[in-house]
Amino acid sequence: MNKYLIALVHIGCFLLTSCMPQSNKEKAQGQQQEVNVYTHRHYAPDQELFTQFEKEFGIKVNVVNASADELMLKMENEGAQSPADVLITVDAGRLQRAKEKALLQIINSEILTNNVPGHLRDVDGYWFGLTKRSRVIVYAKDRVTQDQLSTYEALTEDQWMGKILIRSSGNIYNQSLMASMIANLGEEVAAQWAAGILRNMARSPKGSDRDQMKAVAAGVGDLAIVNTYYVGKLLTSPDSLERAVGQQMGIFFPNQKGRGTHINVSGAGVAKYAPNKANAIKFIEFLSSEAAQEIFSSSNFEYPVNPKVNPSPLLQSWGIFKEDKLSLSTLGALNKSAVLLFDQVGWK
Amino acid sequence: MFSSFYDNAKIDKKWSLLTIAIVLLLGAPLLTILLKLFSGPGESWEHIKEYLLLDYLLNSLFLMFACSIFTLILGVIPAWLVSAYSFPFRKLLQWLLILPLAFPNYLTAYAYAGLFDYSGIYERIMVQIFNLDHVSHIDIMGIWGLAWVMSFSLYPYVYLSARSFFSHQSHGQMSAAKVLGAGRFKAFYSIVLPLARPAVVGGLLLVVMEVLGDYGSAYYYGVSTYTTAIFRSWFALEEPETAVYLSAQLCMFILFLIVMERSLRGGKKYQFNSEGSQELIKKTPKSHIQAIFMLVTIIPISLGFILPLIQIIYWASITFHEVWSTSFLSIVWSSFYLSMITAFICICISFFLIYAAKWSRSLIIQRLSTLPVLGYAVPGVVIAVGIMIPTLIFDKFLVNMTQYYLNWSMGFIINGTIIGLVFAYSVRFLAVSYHPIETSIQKTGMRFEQAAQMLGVQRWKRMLQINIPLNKVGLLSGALLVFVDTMKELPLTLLLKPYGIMTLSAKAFEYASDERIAETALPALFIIMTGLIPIFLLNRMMNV
Repeated sequence: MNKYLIALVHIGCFLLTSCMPQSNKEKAQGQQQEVNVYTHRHYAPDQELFTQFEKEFGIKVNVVNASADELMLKMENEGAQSPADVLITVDAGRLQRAKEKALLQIINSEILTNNVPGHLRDVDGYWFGLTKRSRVIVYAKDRVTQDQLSTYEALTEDQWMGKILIRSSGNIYNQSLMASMIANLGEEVAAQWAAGILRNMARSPKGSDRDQMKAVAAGVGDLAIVNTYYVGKLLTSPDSLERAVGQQMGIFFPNQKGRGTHINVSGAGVAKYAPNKANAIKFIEFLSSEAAQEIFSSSNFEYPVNPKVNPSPLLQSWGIFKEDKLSLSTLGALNKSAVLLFDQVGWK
Repeated sequence: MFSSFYDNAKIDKKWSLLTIAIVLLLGAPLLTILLKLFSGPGESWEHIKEYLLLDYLLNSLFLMFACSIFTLILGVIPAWLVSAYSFPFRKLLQWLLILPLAFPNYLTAYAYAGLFDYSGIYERIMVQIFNLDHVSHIDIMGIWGLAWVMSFSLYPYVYLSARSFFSHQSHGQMSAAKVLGAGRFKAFYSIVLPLARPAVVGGLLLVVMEVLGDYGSAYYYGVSTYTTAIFRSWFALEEPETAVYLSAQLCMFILFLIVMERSLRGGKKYQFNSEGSQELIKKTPKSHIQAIFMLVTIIPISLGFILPLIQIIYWASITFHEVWSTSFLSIVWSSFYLSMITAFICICISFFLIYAAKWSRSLIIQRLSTLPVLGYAVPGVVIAVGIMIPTLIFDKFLVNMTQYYLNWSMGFIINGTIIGLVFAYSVRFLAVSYHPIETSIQKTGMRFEQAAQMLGVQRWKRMLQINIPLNKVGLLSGALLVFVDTMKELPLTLLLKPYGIMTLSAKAFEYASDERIAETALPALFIIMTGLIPIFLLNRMMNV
């Protein structure tokens, strides 16, 4: 009996001491400067950048890592007491949603407006893109040639029947691509496009972007629609077979003669109730700086948003491309319509 | 004598109040969700009903039935073999059979996908070792594959409850059957198995809840389930109301299953005499039969544990230099102690609730005490909302009060602290400890306690001094199950963990969400190894 009591007391003490409440606002005014980052990005280079920021500015970076949807949910529930300073997502649609839900605040920063081009940030200054990713067509080099490819729309042609690999419609990158279709071509044409892709699919959608490329390499189909940085990751994978898959892939930027290839950004905004607002701004400014942008590009194979920074040599070897200049806020606004259309045509 | 079966009304009232308090505390998140049933779904409900629901529902039902049947076969048969027969390596096999529990099931899903991937281990072996020119591709990523993977990772729930019943309870029945001339097989089939039903169904219920609540594996395998509809309406269609509405329906369904199981049992309370706690005498069959038995028990182990483990070790070996750092040890430690605390709290609460219900005169109390188990059936993200809403109200209230009266600005006490995280885990995993403990308490029956009660021993003392030692195995297996589940838990950990604390599952997630499946292997290996310690200990204690 005594044993149990002692154990109980110990656990109680432990819980109490480890959970002594500390005020976020109070801490911010104290000596240790900090910034609380809610991020959907979980790449090793990010961690490197955070450490660099800590060293350079003497501001500690606290990270909460989860999907953007979950983080927004957390911020919504926490309300005015939320400790969040910065929200980072992997697509503009989610940032737009955060803005609409009044989770972000307007930032006036000359550094940011200089570093981030107009179409890659929010018109009102609620959020700023940090890295660009483009959703492209990859093809099996031994079976398909560049001149067979032209646009996203052309993928619905008969010649690609049973040849296309693409993941499920639950994926945000597909939803954004569909939203761009709706914005550019209207709902009706976009729905026809989705139905056409569905008809041409080599198999029912499953797995990740990498899995689509593996299936292309294995001959399940000839083409896949994926984000560019996954090709980079395959090429530098620790697994020799994944590297081999990467080497078999050719990259094609569609719609070059028209509106340009669909792009999206991973970006950040300052939380509405940020207890460390000044630090939050410094943090985002730092991520848009040339030094940080170079790391994004070289270690994570994303395109820098900062025009002063050149993409890494690997990215350059894929060629320069014309990007769809559609305002990224539109993608967020049309996200829901995109999902509804996917369901109606039966794209799982 | 019969009038003294219950304690006097005053004591009963105290216990009832405490039970209600606990149920309210743990049930608050669930009530928050269930209340949403009344506010109705959002406008995307029509869309979901028209295009998605039927398909998704059928998939979920299929998975539920398929996994139930598979886990029953994979759990009950080996449990009977290791309890009733002796054959080579029996002792080793009987604890190896629990091991798939240490795997997070999304990881088993990844590992299987990796094994049968194009140019995965399976195809490479076929090509390189057997010199086959053409290997037909096995497509594991589909609904059958999902049922397979889930069954092999979840069968230990059924196995554990069945084994603990067979090995400690069936001695008397088997002897009786033998005296009456029945063979071992017939006795098993017509006597032991029906009596084991409550225990087996308890384990099965956990399997069903896990299957219905799963999202990660199903999403990866491209199978749309009921839970997919929850996520879709919430995140893609931006309607949390509909998502919570759907989850509330899922809760009601599970509640229905529980009630149905109870009524099927027909209020029968099986009590077994003290001989029951004697271990079953093991028969030694002929040597070729022994070999067959050995093979049968090896199948679930190799497909549920060894095969995925091979893939994970392979991945870990190629990514080790990239992923390993010394901070790993502190991550292991935080995962370990969080899981220990949660396990301890869960068994305390389950034990109290079950014990209180057993001695309560009030039917309402008896029913209420099962409510908190529903937390397991709801997808993690949804339960996170259920947890955040009431706890944030409390936290904000406290912050405002101290601000107003003491002019002291304090932080949240529950949200973003270990208290909040452990509370959330407890809400989620109570069911996991509840069932083994319930079965165990039902088995022990009332005889010892009635004797103690006649001697005037108080209910508290009876609970602590008689019931804890009597139900040691049940308590321990409850603790073990909660421990391994907490180690693997993901959405709650991500949303509620304090800064500066990292867990193994959160570490694995970092890589998985970036499609770096191979890099998840190292944290996964640590989850598995840390899970092995309590599994090993428990097994030893169960054998004592």
